[in-house]
Amino acid sequence: MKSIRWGGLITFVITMLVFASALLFAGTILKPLMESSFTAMNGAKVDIESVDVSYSPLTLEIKNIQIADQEQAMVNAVQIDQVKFAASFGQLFLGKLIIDEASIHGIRIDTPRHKPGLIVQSDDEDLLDAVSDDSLISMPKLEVLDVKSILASNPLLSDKLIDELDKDFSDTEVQWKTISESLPDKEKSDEYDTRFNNIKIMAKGDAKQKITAIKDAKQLSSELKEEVKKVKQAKDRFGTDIKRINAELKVVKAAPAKDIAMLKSKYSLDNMNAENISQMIFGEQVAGYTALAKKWYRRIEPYLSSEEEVETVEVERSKGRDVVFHEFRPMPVVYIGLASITANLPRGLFEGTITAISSDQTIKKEATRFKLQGVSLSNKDSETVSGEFNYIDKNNGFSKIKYSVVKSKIDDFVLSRSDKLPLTMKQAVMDFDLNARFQQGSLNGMAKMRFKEVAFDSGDTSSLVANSFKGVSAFAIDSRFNGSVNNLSIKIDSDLDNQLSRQLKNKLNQEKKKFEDELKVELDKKLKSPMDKIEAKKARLNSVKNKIDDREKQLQQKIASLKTTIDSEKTQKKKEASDKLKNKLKDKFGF
Amino acid sequence: MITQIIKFLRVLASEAAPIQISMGIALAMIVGLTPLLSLHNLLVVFVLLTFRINLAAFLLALGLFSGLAYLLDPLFHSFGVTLLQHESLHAAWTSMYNSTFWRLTHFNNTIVIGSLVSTLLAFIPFVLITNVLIKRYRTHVLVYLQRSKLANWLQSSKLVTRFTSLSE
Repeated sequence: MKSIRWGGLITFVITMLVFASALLFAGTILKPLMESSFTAMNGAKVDIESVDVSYSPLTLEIKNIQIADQEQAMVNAVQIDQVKFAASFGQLFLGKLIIDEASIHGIRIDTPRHKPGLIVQSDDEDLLDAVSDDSLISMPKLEVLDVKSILASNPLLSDKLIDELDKDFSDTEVQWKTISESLPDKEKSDEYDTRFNNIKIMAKGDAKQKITAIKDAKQLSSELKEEVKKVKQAKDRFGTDIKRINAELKVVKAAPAKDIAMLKSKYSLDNMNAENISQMIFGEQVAGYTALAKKWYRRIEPYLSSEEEVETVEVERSKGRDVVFHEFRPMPVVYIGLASITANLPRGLFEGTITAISSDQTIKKEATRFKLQGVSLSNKDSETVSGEFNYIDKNNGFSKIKYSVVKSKIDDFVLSRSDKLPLTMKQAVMDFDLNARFQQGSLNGMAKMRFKEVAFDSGDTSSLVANSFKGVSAFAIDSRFNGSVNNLSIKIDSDLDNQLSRQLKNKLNQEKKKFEDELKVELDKKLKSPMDKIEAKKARLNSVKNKIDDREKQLQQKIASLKTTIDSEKTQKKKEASDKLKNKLKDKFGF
Repeated sequence: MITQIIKFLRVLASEAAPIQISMGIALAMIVGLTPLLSLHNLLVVFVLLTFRINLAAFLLALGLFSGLAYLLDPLFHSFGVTLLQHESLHAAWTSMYNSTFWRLTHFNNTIVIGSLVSTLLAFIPFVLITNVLIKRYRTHVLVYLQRSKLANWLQSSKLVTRFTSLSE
């Protein structure tokens, strides 16, 4: 026993015991280590309330994990009340965390923090804010039109033509006043009457007087014919003017119809439709959800893409090389067979499981699958999310997710805050199905929404589109998306467009009719005064015409009367000459 | 360096048994030439502390072998690769690889296995040879030196006394 150094043996044993005793405080040692490493992974602070380790079996219990939001200092992106799992002790010595069963309870999101959780200022663009910007929405200007302001602000053809006609009338009137004055007036007519009467008196006189009367009659007749000629010329000219003015008046009367057509065309009531309105409205919502998905994808991307090197690990030359041999029961560095989860989210309480969480799926050839189901849901019949992360084939790995909601009640869901189209879904019942698949950098999927018992509210807006929503009680929206995560193409189809188009068409027809009627009334009202003026002028011109006609008639009568007088005088004179000759013959020959 | 040599000479000249010194140096060879943080070195430390092995010789030789390890690592790496890729040993390695205990030894590392096997193979011959050399040193070199005028002078020299006292 002399060869044994007892002091050394005791020292060795004590040293080993000191190291072993450290295991008793493993929780205290692990807590800061976990906090610092998780903080480095998260990019914002991760706080843990306590870590408890027990060794038979090896169990780790972590309480109250608060994972700070990278963008909001006083908000936890995720808070987990408890994580508990039993790990394989032997595998842990080999640097592997193998857990058959784990439980994660009390997951909550967006919970408040007591102290700031930011460690660096995030430079990520705030996509949610960006998409909620109303400037993205370009709404059609479908509003009830104000006829008076339209008439006041648009130059009308009617106005122009009425002005031109009015001027023409005025010029013509002045011209005709002059012409009218040059025509024989009453005084002249009386003079003609006097001369005519004198001729008639003289015609009953002696032969000399009769001869003078005939001369005067011829003179008078010649003058009257000259006057008639002048009147006829004036009448012809007047007829031309009247014809022109009537033609102009006809054009003026047709002008309001042209104005109405022009205004209808300008305010494009005919071309309004509801095409892609659902894309405009729900596109904003979809873009918001897409931005949220991108935000979360960026957070989990580093963990999804982590791959384990298995064949050889190249290290510094002085540290040699680790040669890997075939494992009888190969295990990845991290593996959790089954994790049961409860999450208390704003949408309700969710329960579910995740199976085969693995740092390298190629080793156990098991895909990670998860399923979470809502329980005790207040506003919906069911809500389920399930999915699969399958990277067993590293070159062709994929992630897929399926999300469905049945009979979700919607209250006061703001669809658009745009001034042009303030729209709120006051109530509705929605079924929602989402299927998405992410593979080789490309995201493809489809989301189907079925809305029933819908009631829209568009406030007091005069927008025809907004008012068209009031007639919609059920509709469906199908959206398809594909492309890379950062350049996603989204296509939204909906029968809402057709329904809105129908509603809008009816509304438009009503509005169109109302607009036309109002336009006609207002235009008539506006044109009445100038048209009355024109009609009065026309009446004055007509009176001039009548006056000329009368004058011509009188002159013609006078000429006829004069001619009758001359003819009668001629006949009488002839008779007298004949009688005289007969008497002479009778006297001479006695028969 | 001079201090280390003086210390080593003192160990050689001490009353410790040659086998204790040679065992210390041999164990230092294992710890020094193999990666320090390996499971087998815990066993070496246990042996070192439990049995009467000269600690001074171990510590002095450990420094020497640790420096030497940097030069020998390429050789150990090649030897380790040869061993780990040897067909006849493949089944054994695979079996060991699937054992938690053996995995903890990091036997599948080329330098660990290369250096450990090398030092284990060299251990017994090294102990025996060192033991013989120490004995011969003591009987021949040490006696001669103790009798020499130079040794007497050095022993009586205040300068050397002060130097060694400072070194201690």
